[in-house]
Amino acid sequence: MSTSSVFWTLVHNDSRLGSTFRLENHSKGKFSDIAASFLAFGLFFALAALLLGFGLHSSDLFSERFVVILNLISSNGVALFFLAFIPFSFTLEMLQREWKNGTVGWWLSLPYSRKLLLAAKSMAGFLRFIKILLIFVIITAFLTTLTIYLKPDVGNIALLHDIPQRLLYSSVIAILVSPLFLILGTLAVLEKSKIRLLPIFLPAFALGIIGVILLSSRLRAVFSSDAYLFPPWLSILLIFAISTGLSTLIFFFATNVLEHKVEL
Amino acid sequence: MEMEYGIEFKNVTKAYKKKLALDHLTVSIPTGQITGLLGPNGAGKSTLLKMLVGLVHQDEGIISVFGQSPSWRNNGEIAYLPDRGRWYGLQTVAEALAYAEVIFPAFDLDLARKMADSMDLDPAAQISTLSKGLEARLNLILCLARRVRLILLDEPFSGIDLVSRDKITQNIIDSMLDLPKTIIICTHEIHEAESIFDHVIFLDKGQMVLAGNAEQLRAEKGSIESVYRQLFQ
Repeated sequence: MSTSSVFWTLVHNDSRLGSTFRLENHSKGKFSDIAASFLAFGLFFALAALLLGFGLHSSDLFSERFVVILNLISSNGVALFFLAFIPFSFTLEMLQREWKNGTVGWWLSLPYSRKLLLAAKSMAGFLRFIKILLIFVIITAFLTTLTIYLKPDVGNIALLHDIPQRLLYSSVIAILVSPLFLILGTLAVLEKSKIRLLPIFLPAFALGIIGVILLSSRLRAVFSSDAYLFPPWLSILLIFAISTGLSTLIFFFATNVLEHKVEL
Repeated sequence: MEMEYGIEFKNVTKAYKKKLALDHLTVSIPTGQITGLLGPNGAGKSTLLKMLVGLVHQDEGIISVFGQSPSWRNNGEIAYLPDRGRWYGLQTVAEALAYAEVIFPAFDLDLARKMADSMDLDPAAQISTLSKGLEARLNLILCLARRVRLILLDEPFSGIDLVSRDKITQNIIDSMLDLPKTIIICTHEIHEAESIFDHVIFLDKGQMVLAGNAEQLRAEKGSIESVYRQLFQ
């Protein structure tokens, strides 16, 4: 088998491994079960949309507050924070599940480089992140459209008109920085090694990143409130370069730890 | 005929913090035979197997697996069944075999399917729903269906019913007849497994206390189990 097919097979398996929301005893593949799941989700969203529609239609106060909430969750800073944190948790969870589920012996005895094993986990995390990002964008766009349609005259409604641009901008930035957070999740291997520094390393890393962003006006520009209108391309490029550079360093460190310091 | 030793431990020591798992162990394991690795809890049996696939690194000494140091790079030639290891619960039996065909070099899918059939495994069954015995059978298939030089089985009979044990034993024998290879079985269930051993090694507190030809030991002492009792009671 080629390395490429091994890699994508591992990615496929890892993406199932990290499924928090999947029921352990879910009987996979049966058409009736899949149809029932879709129907249940469809009904849930229809009910939620109906309740929301009723709330927006009947109460101006509710509508105004809902506009504020929508505006907040699509603001660059908040959206970026959550969108970037998600990939970190994905990789971390996928790695921890190998140990928790007792599959780690099989996984670590595979005759492939530790780089390939961790890269497969990171890719599985990235694909799941893209799915979540799409869902987030679709739901926010739907809620915005619904609110604008039902309450075109409520206070601050103008705030919602540029949400699509804001979401697009936040999504692009989140995708550019996601490798860093995905790879950061692979440091979960530190917890399984003799170097138990993860609880110290992660907060120090987070503080370092926040410090660098706060101190650099060029980096701060990426998170400014009007960045989606006039994207600071040079700053975005810089963020991408930092993200890629740090990701590479952390990835090599994590693979080295996995190969030489992790024991079962 | 002179015996060939493919696996050698020379003066190997391993400590977990202050506890010695292997204490200057020197042992050789013959090629093309089924070797039983026996001893009480904490004797160092699992550590020895893990070292062969690079899951544990020695503090001192030299380990040679067919002339090479243990590493993931050589694991394409080794099938390892981890102690208390579980397979991916969200896969079905059929998916597990298809997955194994891709990720395990030299995995014989047709052989695996035949084994699954003979071991009463339903291909559509999800692994998380299998009983402990059925899951143990699947784990064994994932090792025995690989055309490799070395098979390491860490407690393959642990906590499973008599019928499953018999089926597993039969499959190990069939696998040897089909393609001779070196198999090391680490187990506490000596009674069930002793008939398949060609060679046995007894470990205690990380050191080898006895090693020899299984048939010879059986002829001298009646059974491997009675040797075990004499050594450790």
